[in-house]
Order: sequence, then C-alpha cells, then structure tokens
Amino acid sequence: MSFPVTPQSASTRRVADYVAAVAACCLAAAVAFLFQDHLDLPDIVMLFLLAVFLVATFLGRGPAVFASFLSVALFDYYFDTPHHFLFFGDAEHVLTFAIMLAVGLVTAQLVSRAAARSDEARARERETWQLYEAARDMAGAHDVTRILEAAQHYLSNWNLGGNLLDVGDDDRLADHPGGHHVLGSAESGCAEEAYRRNEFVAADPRDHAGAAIACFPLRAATQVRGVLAVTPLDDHTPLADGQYRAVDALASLAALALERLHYAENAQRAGLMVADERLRTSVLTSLSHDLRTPLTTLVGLADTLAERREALPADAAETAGIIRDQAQAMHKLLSDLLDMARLKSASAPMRREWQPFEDVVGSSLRLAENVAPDRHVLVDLAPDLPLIFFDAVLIERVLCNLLDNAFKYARPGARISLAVRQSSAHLEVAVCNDGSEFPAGRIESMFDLFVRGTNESCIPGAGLGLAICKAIVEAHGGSIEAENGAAGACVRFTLPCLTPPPVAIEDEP
Amino acid sequence: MNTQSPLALVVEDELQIRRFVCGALRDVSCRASEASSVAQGLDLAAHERPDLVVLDLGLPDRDGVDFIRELRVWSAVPVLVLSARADESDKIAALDAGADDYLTKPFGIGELRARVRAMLRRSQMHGDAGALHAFGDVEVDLVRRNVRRAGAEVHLTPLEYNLLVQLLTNPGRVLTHHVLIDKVWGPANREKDHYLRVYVGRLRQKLEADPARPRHILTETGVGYRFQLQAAGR
Repeated sequence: MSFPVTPQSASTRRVADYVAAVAACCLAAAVAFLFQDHLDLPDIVMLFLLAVFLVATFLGRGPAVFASFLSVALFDYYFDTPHHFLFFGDAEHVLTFAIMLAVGLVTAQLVSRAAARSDEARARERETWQLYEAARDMAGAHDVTRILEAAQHYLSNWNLGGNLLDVGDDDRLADHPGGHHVLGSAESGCAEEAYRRNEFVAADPRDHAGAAIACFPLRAATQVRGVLAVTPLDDHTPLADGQYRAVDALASLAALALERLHYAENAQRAGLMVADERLRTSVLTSLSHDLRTPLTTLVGLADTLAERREALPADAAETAGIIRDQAQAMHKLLSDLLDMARLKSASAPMRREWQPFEDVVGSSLRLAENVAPDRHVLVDLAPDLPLIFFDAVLIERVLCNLLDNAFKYARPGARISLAVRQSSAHLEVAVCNDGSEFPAGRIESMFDLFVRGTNESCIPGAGLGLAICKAIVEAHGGSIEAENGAAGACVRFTLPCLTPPPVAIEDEP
Repeated sequence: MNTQSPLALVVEDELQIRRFVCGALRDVSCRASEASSVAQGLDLAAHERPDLVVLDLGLPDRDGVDFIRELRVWSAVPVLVLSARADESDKIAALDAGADDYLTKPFGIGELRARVRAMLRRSQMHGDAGALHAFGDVEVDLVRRNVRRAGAEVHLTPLEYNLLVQLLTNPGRVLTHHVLIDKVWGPANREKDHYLRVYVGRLRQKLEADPARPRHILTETGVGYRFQLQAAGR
C-alpha cells in the first residue's frame, strides 16, 4: 500500500537530510579536533566512518554518499599532513574514501531494504487484521444484509465499493439491497458472466457506460453462492494487484458465510418439515382409527341383521345387506384415501424385503378371487424369477387393485390374465383382460387421482385405484403404464431387479 | 374341557362392537363374557378360565399386546386379535407375543364365526394331533420323517422338512416370519428373512397342486404364513 506524498514536502525533507549529513560529519570532525592529541589517525578515520554509518542508517543512500565525500574531505583537510590541504591523490586516502563510500552505500541499501520489509509487514498485518475483522463479522452474520455490510466495511479500507448478488431458489442472481450503487445492465451482465463461468470477470469502463467494476464469483464447497461486484471509489482504474488479492480473499469469506446461511436455513426448514410430517402422520393415524371404529360397528351390526338365524322379512334382510355392503365400500374408499395421503407424504413407511414375487401373486389371487368367485385369472409366471426387493403389502395392493379393475370393467366370461416375467434389469408384471378397453386418448390420465375409465357411475369406485398403484410402483423405483393391446386392456408395471442377497440352498438328499 | 358350551372372553372397549361380536359367538354356541379394559380382561381370564379370547388391540388403559404377554405367562388359551390398525407391525407384535390369529376391522360376521369355530376345534383337538398328517394329496408321517404326495415319496431337505413340521403342527395359526425363522433357522438368523420365503416357495413347488395358487401353505402378506389343513378357497 502506498501513501500519497506531495512533491514539495519530499524536497524539503531531502534538503534537511543533507543538512543533517553535513552536521554529522562536522560533529565527527569537531570531536576528532577536540581529542586530536589523544587520537591516532586510524581512530579519527573510525570516527568519520561512524558518522557515515549513522547517516546511512537514518538518512538513506544520497546523504550517505554525500557524507562519505565530505568525511574524506574534512579528514584530508584537517587531520592529514599537511594540514589544511585537500589532496585526494594519496593511495592511502583513496582506500579510506572507498571504504567509507562502500560502508555508506551498503548500510543505506541494507537499511532501506529492511525499512521496505517492515513497511510491507506492517501493511500485511493490517490487511490480515482487516480480513480477520471481516471474517468475524461474517461468521456472526445471520442474514445476507449483515454479510454485505461486513464486505463493504472491509472494501472501504481499500477504497472500493461493493455489491453482493446472491442466488435465489430459481437460480437467478439478485442484487441484494444496500449495495454500493444500483447496478446498470452492463454491470449486471458482468456479474452474470462471473456467476455462469465461475471465474473473475472485470468490466472496463472504456467498454461501456457504467463504472469500472470487477466481479468475483462466491465459490463455496458445493456451488457458487453468488457474486461480489466491486467498484473503485476514487477513479476509474481497474483493480491494483494488491486489491485483487484482498477482494479475492474477501470473496472466499463471503462465499463461506453464504453457504453457512444456506445450510442453516435448510436445517430449519427440514426441522419444520419433520414436525409437519409428524403431525400429518398422527392426524392420519387417529383419523384412520376414529373412522374405522364406527364403520366396524356398522358392518358388524348390519351383517348380524342380514344373517340372523330367525330370518328377517326378505326386504329387511336385503336392506341390511345393502347397508353392510355400502359400509364396506365406504371403508375401502377411506382406506384408499388414507393410503394415498400416506404414500404422498415424504416419509411413506415402506417395508421392503427380499422375497419371491410368486408369494404376493398367490395371496393377491386369493384375495381378489374371494371377492369375485365367478371370475378366474390365467396366471403365467416365468420360471426362475429372481428375489425382488419390495413391500409385499403395497404390491399386493397394486395387484388386487388391477385385478379388481379387470373384474369390474371386463364383460362376464372375458379372459383375464396375470403375467410375470423378467426383462434385463426389471421384473415386468402385466394384468390384461380381453373384455374391455381403456378410453382412447385418455390412457395417460388414467393414473391421475379421481379419473375414471367410464364416466357413468354404474361401476363403483372413486378413481383412486390406479393412482394408488402408480404411487406405490413409483415409490419402488418402477414404472406403470396402460395400453389397449392384442390382449385387450392391459396395465403393465415394472419393479427393479436389484442384486439379491445370496441364498445357500442345502443339497437335495 | 368340560361338557358345557365353550366360554369366550371378549375384551373390547367399544360397546357396539362388543355387542355384535358376542352375538356372533352365541351363534356358534359359545357363552360370552365381556371386558372393556386390559385390567378387567386379565382379571376375568384368571377367574373364568375361558376357552377363547377375542381381543381388541386398542384398549383404553393399556396396549392389547401387553394383555397377550401377561396372559401367555400362565395360559395357552387361543387368542383372536381384532385390529383397527391397518399397520402390519401391530399384528406382528400381537402374534409374536402369542396371539393365534387376527381379523382386521371392519370384518364380516361370517368371517368372525369361521375363525372362532376353527380356533375352538383346534384347541379341542390339541394334544392328540398324532404323527400322521394329511392335506390335499400329501401324507406326512412325523415318526418316520416321510412325506408322500399321491403315493410317491417326496424328497425334502432337512430345513424344508423342519419348516413343514412347524407349519403342520400349527394348523390354522398365523406364524410370523420371526417365529418360523426362530424355530427353523434359530434366533441368530433373524436377518435371513428371505431364506424363509425361498424355502416356503420350494415347499409349495413340491407339495402344492398349483404353486401359484397355494391352498395349504398360505401367505399372510406382510405378517407371515398360515398352514391350512383343509384346502382354502376354490
């Protein structure tokens, strides 16, 4: 860092230095003169050497050279024989002069180097201190405004103004309010470029109408968190080398602080989400319990009436049966809604285990065919299927929903099939029936909530079944699609085949 | 067992549910005694020595699973659990604690009657099951360790045979994965859940007429397996 020095004071100082050099030499001469009788010539030379040394140490190179000349002249004139005679020709004095000159020059050189070093060290210490202050301020900052203030305070030491542009959730740079000045479009462009390219970009005022500006990307460990744009306060020159280094260091600090803020916000948000999720789960659980209890009573009592030993009049028994069936349907709807809510929540509890797929096929067929005893499903299981990692309860739900749909929509006597085969990294399951079709053009929306195949309400259901299937299959990392194929209306879904744990089977006896 | 009609204890806090459950029990000629809390239920179970317990898991004073644990200390009476919770872990906890079967609410009267009848029949048969078992076209001789299907001998590995024995000797009961693994592979192998599933698949291949639609070795999805002596379904 350089201090501006006016030319007048410099020349005044220089003249004073030379006067002081003369004074030093004269003092040496005076001391030598006073003790002339007690001193040998070499002692006197030493006195002058001391003067030159001191001049070199305190006044610099020019006065030291001057003092060397003056000392040799004074020594020659006053002390050397013949007195009061200036004579440089003597070989002895040429050597004395040369030594004095050398001592003066070397000393001055050493001193000036040491002085420069100490100046430098002091400047560094101040830089470090300022950087430390900035780091401290930023570490305590709990919002972007504080970070900007700390950056500006630091930059003012360097005669710079600063703007902080941070990145929002939409990946766009936004100039944080409170910056040095409102950025023009060319300056914003410079910042944008620094952000996109993740490197330092400087805009020269000669290229555009705005102020000179230098943009530093705020590189944090995981990503670029924003841009620090600095503008020289005094003139329009680009950044000096020292300034560049200083601002670069500041940019690292600001990036760290922004990243810390980001993670703190994330942690807080995650905490809220966990609390949210917990509330949701507890509401779902108690809802599920509180709604199932009266439904259980309703189903049980209606069933008791319908199946009484002393038979009711036919119409009353029929009414009781209808009440029971409607209560059952309501329970199915309730379960679907609760399941959907559970599956849609982030922490959907899945119990995935390694198991053969055949197991869940068997239990699904049993459940589905119990509900519709007049239907029969053709099962086509490929041999040697691998173990699959899935939640059996949920996948059973998928299979039952698909079979239920096939039973509901296919005309009586239609061929309904369930095929399972492995294709490369997936298990492919298809439930088809040749007795119905999906409405053309609406196949994609079949898996949306509350969308139904036929708009008529003659077939019971709420349009939740396929949406639940989709949610379950996707939670397993698979995919599901519907199509009208050769085999009629088909729903196919896949489950990933991961690497199963080894099963050591004993040898056959 | 006395000559009186069997006594069933119903532990359920909802009055209306208790009402129709007791009605269904009377339909299968059981006498019913009612309790509305775990404490009252344990008290009645100790004094009246019921032949069957129908237990709701969500009771006001304590967890139904606690009831089963305490009951099992001194009684082997069959327990049918009624669970309003769709979450399988509650059923598993109840079955692991010693319950024999479960019904998920809401359930039909017919289903309840069938379960109760089956449980009573089993507890009456208890003790004289004998060494010879037959289901479908399969005959098992536990003394000779011999398995025949349609007259021809079927080769089972020792683990397959052990698994079959566990299933055979607990007909109608829901056996959780944990229980079966503990008994066949030993408690140290609980994380080898998939072994059980693979072996059940192999047993079905060897013993079931249509392994894709098992009629005897049934899967209770997410909970465990149930061995059905009489063919289930169609």
